[in-house]
Amino acid sequence: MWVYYPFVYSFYLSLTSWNLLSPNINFVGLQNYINLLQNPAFHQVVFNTFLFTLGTVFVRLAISLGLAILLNQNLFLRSLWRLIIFSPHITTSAAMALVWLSMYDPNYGPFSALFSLFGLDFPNVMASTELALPALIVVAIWKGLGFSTIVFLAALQSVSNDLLDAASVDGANAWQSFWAVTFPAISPVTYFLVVTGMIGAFQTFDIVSVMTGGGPVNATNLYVFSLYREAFHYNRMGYASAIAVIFFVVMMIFTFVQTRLANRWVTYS
Amino acid sequence: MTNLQIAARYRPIRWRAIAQSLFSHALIIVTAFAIGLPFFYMVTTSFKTLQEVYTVPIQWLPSNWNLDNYLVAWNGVPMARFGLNSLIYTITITLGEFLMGLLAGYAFGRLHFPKKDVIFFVVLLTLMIPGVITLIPRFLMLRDLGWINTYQGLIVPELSSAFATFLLRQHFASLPDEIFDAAKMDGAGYLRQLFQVALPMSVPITTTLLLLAFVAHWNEYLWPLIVTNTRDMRTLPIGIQTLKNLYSDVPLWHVANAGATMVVLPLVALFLVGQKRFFEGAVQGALKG
Repeated sequence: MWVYYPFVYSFYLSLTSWNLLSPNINFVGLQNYINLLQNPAFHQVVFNTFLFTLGTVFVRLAISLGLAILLNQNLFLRSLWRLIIFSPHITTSAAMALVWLSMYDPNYGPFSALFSLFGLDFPNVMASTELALPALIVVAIWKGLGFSTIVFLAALQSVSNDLLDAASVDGANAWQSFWAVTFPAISPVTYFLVVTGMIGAFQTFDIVSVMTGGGPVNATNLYVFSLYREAFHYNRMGYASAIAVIFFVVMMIFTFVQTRLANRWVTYS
Repeated sequence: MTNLQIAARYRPIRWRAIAQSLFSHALIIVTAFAIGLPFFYMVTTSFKTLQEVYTVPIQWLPSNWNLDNYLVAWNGVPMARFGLNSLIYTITITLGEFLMGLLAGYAFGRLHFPKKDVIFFVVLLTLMIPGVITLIPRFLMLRDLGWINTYQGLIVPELSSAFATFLLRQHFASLPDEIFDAAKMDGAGYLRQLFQVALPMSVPITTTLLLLAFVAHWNEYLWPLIVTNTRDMRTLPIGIQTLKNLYSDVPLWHVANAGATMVVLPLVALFLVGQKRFFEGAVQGALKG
């Protein structure tokens, strides 16, 4: 009940105009949706979220698959490396966002020290409309890397050695046997990580709120942050509810498309 | 000597394999440094003075390891109160959600009642609806109840977890029937069967669930931010955000990092103690989901 009633209530609110303080709620039909779809700031939020989600999920998965393959070898101190790689996953986003903010300092942080080694100036990334979003993507990748690496690693360990041996007897090189044997075996887990990673990235709030507040000039305003701001800073409850409803519709379409696409590349044993 | 032994003796040193192994080790060390850098920077900065933070070239280590910044953070904001709020919030929800998941999971996993599958499906569907979509109505309901800025407002709406229910149901359904039949013969009711038979057999999954829930709620940011509006009701992740500009416009990175360390430290301790359960928790969700 705690989930379903509010859910219906969201739909209702999205058809109204209400500023939270006034006693009467005005029914305005689809006006909120029309305003939203015509608002260039909303277009930018959608675009930012799209870019952020794709950047975060795919770069993170590529790196973590590489790390999982690395960790799947005989390594000295392997459990220590595993521990370090996983650790960002359990930390508090809002606290680590503060730490990253201090590291992005244009003159006194570790990145500016690293850049000056090569005689370069580290840009003020948090103040740059082009670099602020990639800077947040880096934080999101760092935070989620450990989880996907551990999941990939578990999947890799379940890949049949007999099949890999058979492939190498047949003369397959490492690249060929990866695509022929390993990838089909880990495809369900990859699918899981793509879907959960995207749903998580869609909903990113903490690091935006702590690090940029959506700025500079809307450059890092992500979907959930914009919803929060409309509802709880500007008290536009109807308008914010419309944002929530569109979010829900997008999620439904996304889930539908994902399951369709999955049939083409995910192999269940 | 067999042919195999001869072959082993005359096998050439495998330079290629050694080079490969060296490369792998170099790669993993670089990665570990890169991933560990924020932790290193957080802890070292939390012991620096303001001059040591704002110096070029960068000073990696503080010259004096003392707790000054921690005291500034502790006294500058009501840190003890934030910590208390965080503990109340996290522990009550973790335990409450677990208890609800236990009862519901047991009911779905072991009992028979009409429309069981339909009801379970309805519960599972809630996993599909992201919390963000219902954020505004939930806030409005709390407002109507007069629960904004109260502990019950923070806690009660979070008490049910479809995820815990789901995992525990799967687990209870997998336990052998014979044990429960035997307990029933001995006259144990449902609750005794749950707490004296099923629960003791489920220590690993129970620990995993409790740890994951504790970490998730400790880290929660958006929900407490919306529900609370006075400083004395804030939880730690929100409370430390003001440290950066506590008494100046120049960011006090040393104090802010001391605050961040205080928030993250309990989690790191928990992680080091229960790392096996954390890894299992991550993998379990992925492979069963």
